[in-house]
Amino acid sequence: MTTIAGRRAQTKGVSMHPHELEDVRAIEELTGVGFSEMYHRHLAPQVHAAAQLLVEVRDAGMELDRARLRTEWDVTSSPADLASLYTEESELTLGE
Amino acid sequence: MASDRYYPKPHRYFARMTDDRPLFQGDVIRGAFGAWWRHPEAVRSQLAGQQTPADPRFPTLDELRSQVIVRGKGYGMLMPQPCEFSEDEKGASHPFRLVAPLFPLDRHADVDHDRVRKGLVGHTIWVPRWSEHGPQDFYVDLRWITSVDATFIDRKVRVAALSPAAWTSMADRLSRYFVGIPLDVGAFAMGQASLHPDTEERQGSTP
Repeated sequence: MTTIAGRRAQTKGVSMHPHELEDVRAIEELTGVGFSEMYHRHLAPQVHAAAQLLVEVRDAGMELDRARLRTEWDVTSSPADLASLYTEESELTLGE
Repeated sequence: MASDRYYPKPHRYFARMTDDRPLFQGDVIRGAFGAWWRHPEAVRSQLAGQQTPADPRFPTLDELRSQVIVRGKGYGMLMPQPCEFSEDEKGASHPFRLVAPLFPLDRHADVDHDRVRKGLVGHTIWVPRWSEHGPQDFYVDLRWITSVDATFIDRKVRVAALSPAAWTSMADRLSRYFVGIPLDVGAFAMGQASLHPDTEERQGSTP
């Protein structure tokens, strides 16, 4: 079945906690805006933007799960390195 | 385990530049720089080869001014979340812009190219060359983040902007550096992706 807006009915069957359902019903009763409309108005644009970004991240060759990637912290390693920070002078280049 | 897949591939790193593109987090700005306010007692001690006093006297304003150093090799990266400086909103009403200077990632660099490229150096963000005729690879040094006047930051002096993928990497670098945890990429995508100038609205998605 196709709606007037051109959508074909498809669902992901969202299961809700009782308190979440209570919130949805409260909005529905107070404003007449049902859950499907809430989704289309508010969440769908966000989901679309998120999907675009995640697809681009994947296509750009990046790892999505990088929580295990080790990061090292550089420390100034020797007294000479440290002293050199204090002998530096200002320098400024405008760029090409 | 180090990975070569930390950052986007170089040809996916930058967004297409147009005159009407709003200023955005991660933009590379020509002529931005960083500053470091050194303590005069630390400078004196280091030059004399001594330990810095445990309880140094607080310097006068003139002494402070005499020891600040400014470093910039031509370019800086715009740091904050974009709402902080959005052109027609908050950015129009305050003059502060937080930038981090870029330094050439060459043999004179303080950091190793390969380790920076793999995301292994916590205070850096790798920035590949942004045009065929442009300069070499750079790295952003987050230790040199500095507040500059908004006058320094303008679309006319922007030389590069990040793709959504590179922007995600940048957000991850900032999270690791300032908070100590990796970015939750899914949460970032859901909460922030729509802000990026290249995000396209889906046609006919409204009821």
